[in-house]
Amino acid sequence: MGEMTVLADVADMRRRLGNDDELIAELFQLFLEDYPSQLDTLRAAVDSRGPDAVRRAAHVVKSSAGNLSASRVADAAAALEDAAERNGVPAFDELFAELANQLQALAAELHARRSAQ
Amino acid sequence: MMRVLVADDDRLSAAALQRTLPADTFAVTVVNNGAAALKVLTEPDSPSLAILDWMMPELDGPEVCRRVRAEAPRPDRYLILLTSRDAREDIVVGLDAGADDYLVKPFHRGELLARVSVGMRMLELQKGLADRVDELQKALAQVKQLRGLLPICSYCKAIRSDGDYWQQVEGYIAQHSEAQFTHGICPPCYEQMSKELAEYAKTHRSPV
Repeated sequence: MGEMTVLADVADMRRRLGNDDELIAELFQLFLEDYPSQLDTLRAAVDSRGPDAVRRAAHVVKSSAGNLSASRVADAAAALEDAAERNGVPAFDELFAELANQLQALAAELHARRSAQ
Repeated sequence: MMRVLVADDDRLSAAALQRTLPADTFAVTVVNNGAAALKVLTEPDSPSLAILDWMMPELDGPEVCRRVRAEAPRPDRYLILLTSRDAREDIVVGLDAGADDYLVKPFHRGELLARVSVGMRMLELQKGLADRVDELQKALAQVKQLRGLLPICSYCKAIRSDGDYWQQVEGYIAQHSEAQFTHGICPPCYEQMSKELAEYAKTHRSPV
């Protein structure tokens, strides 16, 4: 896997989690299980234009991505969360599209990592 | 075994927290919303230590802190809030709401364990203090019985205890305090008693 595609910073995770590779594998697994429904919740919130629902949904994604040290996903989620806090409804679609892309890229990376093992 | 509540709607955070707390020391209960956290923390025998995410469905972390402090106040309670790295300005709000400490997400294992052990130290201190206060209150209750109004006989100095039983003063005090008595005779009484004994001997002298 090329370094430029690395979205989850495993070195940072190992540093934070005391080199617990079993836990890291478990977190990857939980993310792969949870991200489709997180994405659905997020899409529904964006479609409903409800700032509070968007803020909450984006916050959970930011938290999950943070646990995977996936800063690009976490940043995209934080941007959407910030927009929702400032009631920036017009920016929702663009920020959601960016976050959805990053999430899917992260999922693809984690799938690839799993099949490589 | 120390019981800990972890409340977080992000399964990854909850799993990482649960896994980081050693299973031989901590019995961890996990819930995924604020209302469930409040329910667990207001039950009898609830965990003393809780790690609560800031933003959760139903009730947020600070609101859980406020309600736990109001509805189930206990001296042995330590609440840690989890906050995102970009929400540090909220920390004052969280501490004001009744949190004892906070931890920034995504957490670092060493920091989590250090903060949890500070919590355990505080809980032990609180327990020590509570035990001491308890002992002192028990001792104070004893002292109070001696400070109350004691009905005493003006002539023989017996004290009326509960149940209309008249008791010698030394027996009464020994029963109601840690004091003990050794018996002797004071100089004025000695003089008085010597006189009386001499008088008695004179009047009861056997006829020769």
